[in-house]
Amino acid sequence: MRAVAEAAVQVLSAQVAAYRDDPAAEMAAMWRTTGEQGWHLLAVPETAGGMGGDLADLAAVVRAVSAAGLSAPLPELHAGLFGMLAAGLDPAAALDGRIGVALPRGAEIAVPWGRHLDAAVLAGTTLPCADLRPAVNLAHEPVDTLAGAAAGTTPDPVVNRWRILHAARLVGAAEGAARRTAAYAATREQFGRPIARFQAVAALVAEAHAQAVLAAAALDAALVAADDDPVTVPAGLATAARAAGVVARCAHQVHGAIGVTRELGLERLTRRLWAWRDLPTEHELEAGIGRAVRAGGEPLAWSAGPEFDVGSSG
Amino acid sequence: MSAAALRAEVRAQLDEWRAAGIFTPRSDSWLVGYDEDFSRRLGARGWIGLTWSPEYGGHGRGFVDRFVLTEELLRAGAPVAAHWIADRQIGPAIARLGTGALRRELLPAIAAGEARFCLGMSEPDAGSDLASVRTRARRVDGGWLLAGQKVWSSNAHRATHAYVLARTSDGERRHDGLSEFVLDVTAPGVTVRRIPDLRGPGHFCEIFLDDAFVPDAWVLGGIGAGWAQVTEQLAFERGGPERVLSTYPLLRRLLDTAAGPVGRVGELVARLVALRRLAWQVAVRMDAGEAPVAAAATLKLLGNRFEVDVIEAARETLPSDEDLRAALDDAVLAAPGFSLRGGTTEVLSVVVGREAMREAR
Ligand SMILES: Cc1cc2nc3c(=O)[nH]c(=O)nc-3n(C[C@H](O)[C@H](O)[C@H](O)COP(=O)(O)OP(=O)(O)OC[C@H]3O[C@@H](n4cnc5c(N)ncnc54)[C@H](O)[C@@H]3O)c2cc1C
Repeated sequence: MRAVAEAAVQVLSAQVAAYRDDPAAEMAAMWRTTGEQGWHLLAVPETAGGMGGDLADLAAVVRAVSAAGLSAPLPELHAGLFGMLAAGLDPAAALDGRIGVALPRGAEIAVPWGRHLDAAVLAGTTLPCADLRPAVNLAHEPVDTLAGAAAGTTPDPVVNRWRILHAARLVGAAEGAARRTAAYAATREQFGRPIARFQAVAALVAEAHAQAVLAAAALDAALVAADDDPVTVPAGLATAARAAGVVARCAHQVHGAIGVTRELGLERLTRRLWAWRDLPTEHELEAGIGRAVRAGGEPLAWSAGPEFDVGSSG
Repeated sequence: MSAAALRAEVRAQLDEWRAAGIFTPRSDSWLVGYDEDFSRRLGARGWIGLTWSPEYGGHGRGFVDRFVLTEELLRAGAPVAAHWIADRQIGPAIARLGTGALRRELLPAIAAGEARFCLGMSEPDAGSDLASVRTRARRVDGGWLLAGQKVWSSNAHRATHAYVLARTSDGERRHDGLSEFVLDVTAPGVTVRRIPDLRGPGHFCEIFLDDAFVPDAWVLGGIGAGWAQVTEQLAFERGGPERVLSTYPLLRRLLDTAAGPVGRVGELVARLVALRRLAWQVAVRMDAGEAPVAAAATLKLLGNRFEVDVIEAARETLPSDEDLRAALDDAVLAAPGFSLRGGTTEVLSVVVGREAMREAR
C-alpha cells in the first residue's frame, strides 16, 4: 500500500502546483484526478469491481495524502460506493466516482464534494445532488448543503465508514503538522541555539507529537470496530478532531510568524485540520457517545475494547 | 485461550470475588490496594507471571494477554499492589537478565504471590535525575555490599525483596558504572522506615543500606550495564494500562449512575478508547521483542492527564452522594502522585519531544 500512497501523493502534488492562486480550480483538479485514478476502489471487493484491499489500506492512502497537505474526496467516494453495495443499489455510478455521502446536521444536510456528485447516500437510499447550496470549508474544499434534516439515531454503517476515513484524514494532517513542527524546532536558531533546546518549546513539540500518536491509536481502534459500532468509531473521529485543534495551535506557536505565511505551506495542513475537525465537531460526536453510554452503561463504554481483532482470531 | 476468553474469565472471577466481599473496589488500587491474600489468590489462578516461562512458575503467554488481565483488574479496582511491581517489571527483568539461580528461586515465588518486590531507585538527591544515585556497591568475596539510602520506595515495609540501583564504579560518563541488584530486605544491614504521606501512614518508605550483602547470583545483568537495563525497564514501568486507569473505579461509578453532562462523559469515553488502544499497541510491540520506551512515555503523559480529568468530571456531578463523595476524595488525594511516580510529566515531555525530533529527521 506504500506504493499506492506514494503515487497518490506524487500525482496530486503535481496537480496542485498548477493552481497556486486558484483554490477552486485546485479542488476541481483534485476531484478529477481522484476519480480518474480510482483510489477509492482500493477497499472494495474485486467481485464488486474494486481492488480487493481492506479499509486499513485505503485509510493509509488517505493518511499519506492529507499528511502532504492535499485534498482528495476518497472518504466520500468510498463511503458512497459502500453504501450503494450495502443497500443493494446499482453501484455503476458509484464505481465511476459520482456517488458520495450525505451527512445530516441540524436543519441541513451536508454533502462534501456535492457539486461534483450525481447523488449522495443517506440511510439506505440516495439523495439526488440537485439544488445544492454551494459552500466551501476553511480549506477551500466544497461542502455543499441540501435542505431537510434526517437525523438518524442508530449507528449507520455508511456514516461510520466515512467517519473512519475522515478520521484518517485528520490523523494524516496532524502527523504532517507535528512532524514539520519537530523538524522546524530542531533547525530554527534563536539566542544562539536551536529553539528545541528551550524546554517550553520542546513541550509544544512533545504535545503535538503525543496528540498525533493518540489520534492514530484512536483511528487504529476504529478500523477494527464493527460496522454499526456506537462508541469506538465516533470516538476515533472525536479524538482526531480534538487532536487537530491542539496540533494546529502548537504547530503555529513553534513556527512563529513564518508559520502564518502562505509561503511556508504549514497553512495547507492547519487549514485542513481546522476545516475537517468541524464536520462534525468533536462536541457533536462526544455528545452522541455520552448519550449512547448513558443508555448502555459502563459495560458499553468498556466493551469498546482495544483488541477486537485478537479476540476474534481465537 | 484467546485474549478475549481470558478477559471474560478474569471478569467473571472478579465479579464473583467482589460479590463475595473478598475485595472492595477503589481508585489507585495498584499502589494502595495492598492485600497479600488477594495476590496469593491471583497466583493460585495463574494470574501472576503470565508472561514468563512455565519452567519458572509462569504461563508462557504474551504481553497482550497480560495487558488484558491487568486492564480487568484495574477496571475492578482490585487490590493488586502486593505483586504489581514484581509482576510488571522486576519479574520480567529477572526473566531476561537474571542468573539461573535467581530465576529458579524468585520467579516461582513471585508467581505464587509469595515474593513481593519494592523499587529502590530514588534517593534524597536522585529523583528525576536517576543517574545521580549515590548508593554504592562494594565488591567482596562472593558478592557485593550495598551502602546508601533509598527513598519513596512504595510498600517497602511489607515487601520481601527490593530492586536496588547502585553505583559499582565511577565511569567517565555519569551513566556508566551503575548496576542492578536484587536484595533480600530481611538481610542484615537493611532498615526500612515508613514515611507518612497526605493519605496517612501509607505506602512510602525509606530504605537505609548499611553494608547489606547481595550474592553474585543476585546481580541483574551486567556489572556497569545498569543504565541501559533500567532504561529498558521503563517501557514496562510506564507503558501499562495503570497509567490510564488509576481513577477508573471512579469513572465506572459515574457511568453506572448515568450522571454527568453527556458531552463531558462522551469526551472521557472517547479518550479512554484511544488510550486503551495505545496501551494495547505498547503490549503488541513488547510481544514483538521491542522495548517501546518513547511510546510508553507518550502513553503515561496522556494517561495521567486522563486520570485527573476523570476526577474533574466527577467533581461536577457526584458530591451530593456521600458514598461517592468518599470515592472522589480518595482519588483527589491520590492524584498528585500520578504525574510524579514513574517519571514526572515534565521529564516525560522531554522524552516525547526528543522522540518527535528523532522521527522528524
Ligand atoms: C506515589 C509515588 C510513588 C513512588 N514510588 C516510588 C518507588 O516505589 N520507588 C522509587 O524509587 N521511587 C518512587 N517514587 C519516586 C519518583 O520516582 C520520584 O518522585 C520522581 O522520579 C521525581 O523525583 P523527585 O520527587 O525527587 O522530584 P524532582 O526530580 O526533584 O522534581 C521536582 C520538580 O522538578 C521538575 N524537574 C526535575 N528535573 C527536571 C528536568 N530535567 N526538566 C524539567 N523539569 C524537571 C520535576 O518535573 C518536578 O516538577 C514515587 C513517587 C510517588 C509520588
